[in-house]
Amino acid sequence: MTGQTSLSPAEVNFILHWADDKYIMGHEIASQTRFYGPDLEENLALGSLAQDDLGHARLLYGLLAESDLEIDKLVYLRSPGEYRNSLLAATQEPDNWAFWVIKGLLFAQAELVRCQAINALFSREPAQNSDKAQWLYISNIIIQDDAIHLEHWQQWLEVLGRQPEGHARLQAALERLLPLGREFFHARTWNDLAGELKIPAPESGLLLEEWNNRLAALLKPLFFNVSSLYAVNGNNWAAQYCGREGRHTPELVRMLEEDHALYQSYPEAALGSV
Amino acid sequence: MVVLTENEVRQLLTEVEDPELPINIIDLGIVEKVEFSDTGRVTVKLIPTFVGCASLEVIRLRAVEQLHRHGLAGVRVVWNLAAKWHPDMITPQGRAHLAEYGVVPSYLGQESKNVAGNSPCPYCGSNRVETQASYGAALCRVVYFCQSCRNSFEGLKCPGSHSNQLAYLKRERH
Repeated sequence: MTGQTSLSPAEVNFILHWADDKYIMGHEIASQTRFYGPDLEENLALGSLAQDDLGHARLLYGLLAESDLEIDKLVYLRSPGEYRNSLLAATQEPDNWAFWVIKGLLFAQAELVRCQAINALFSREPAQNSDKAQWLYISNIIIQDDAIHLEHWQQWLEVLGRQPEGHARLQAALERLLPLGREFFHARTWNDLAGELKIPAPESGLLLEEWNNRLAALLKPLFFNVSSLYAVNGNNWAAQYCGREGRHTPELVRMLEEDHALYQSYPEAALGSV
Repeated sequence: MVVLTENEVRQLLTEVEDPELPINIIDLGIVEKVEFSDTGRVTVKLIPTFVGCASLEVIRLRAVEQLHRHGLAGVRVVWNLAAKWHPDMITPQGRAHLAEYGVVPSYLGQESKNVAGNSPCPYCGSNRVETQASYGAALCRVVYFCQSCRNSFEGLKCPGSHSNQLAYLKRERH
C-alpha cells in the first residue's frame, strides 16, 4: 500500500494523530515486556498486542509515505515536537499493572470508536474514491484486532477488580486516565477533516459520549466510580489538545530520543537489504 | 538468465519455511501471486496473516534468497498488505503438518468450508475445547485446552472473526 501525495493538510494531520497514537501505544506496551508482565503468558500477550499496534501504525504511515524507507524517515527523523500522539497513548506508570490494564482498556475503546466514526464518515461520502478505500480497509483491520485487545483488558479488569487492593488501584488509574479520552474526539480534528473533504462532520461531543457510555457499561457492573468520565475539567492537559499540538511529557521525549538514536547513527541500516 | 514458469517458482517457494510454524509458505497459503513483467522480471506477492506479524521481513528475505539461489537475480518479493488471508487457504498437506505439531487452524465459530464448528483437538479429536488465552506464543495464535484429553494446544487465529470470537469466549465462560 503506497501513500497518496495529494492529501490535504487536514487529512495528513488526521492520519498522523492516528498513526502516532498507534506507534507510541505499541512502543509503550512493548516496553512493559521487559518488566516481564505479571506472568509469562501475559508477557507473550503484551508482545502480540504491541505487534498489532505497530503493524497498524505501519499501515497508517504508509498512507503518508511512498515506500518503507520513507516510512522510516517519517518515524525516525521527526523531532518529538512533531509527534501528534495523544497523552493517553504516551502516559506511563512503571510497576503498576492496574495502570496498564486501564490504559489498554481505554485506548482500545477509543480506537474502536474512532474507527467506527471513520467508517460512518466515509460511507456517507458520495464518491468512494480509492484513497478513502484504503482508510476504510485500515480502520476495519484495527476494529478486528482492537476488539480482541479490549476483550483482553476486560479480562484483567475482572481479575484485578475482585480484590480490594486491585480494585483501588484500578480506580486510581481511572481517575488519572479517564479525562484523557477527550483528545481523541476533539472537535477541531474532526471538523478540520470533514471541512476539507466537504462532508458533514460527526458531532465530536457524540463521539466522546459514545466512548463514555461504552466504558461506563463495562465499569459500572464491577462497582467502579465513573464520575470523572463526565466531569468537565477545564485545566485538563489533554482537553487542551496538547499532544495533538506536539506538547509532550518529558518521558515521551526521552523515549523518542532513545528510539531514534540507532536510526540516526546508522541511517543506511535496514533489516531488508535486498 | 534463468526462465521459470509460475509453477516452477511456486515449487521453489515450497522450500521456504515459516519462521514460527513448521509449514512452508505455499502450504500456509500466503503466496498470493507470481507475476512476470514483459522483460521477464518476476514479482512474488505475499499476503500477511496479520499486519503486525514480526516475521514479515524474515519470510520475505528467505523467499528472495531461495529464488536468488536458483538464478532469479532480479526477483522482487513484496507484501500485499491490502490482501486478506484466511485459514482456509492452508493446503490439506499444511493442515496435516500443523496438526502433528499441535496447532490447528481455528475458526472460532466462524463458518468454514473445511471444518465445522470449533477447532477439534489435534491430539484426541474431541470438540470439547475451551479457549484458555486469546494470545499464544505468537500474535497469530490462540491457546485452547481440551477437556477430554487435558492437553493444551494452539490455534491459528482467523483474522476478522472477532465478533464470533467474542461471542465464543462469552459462551465458554458460562
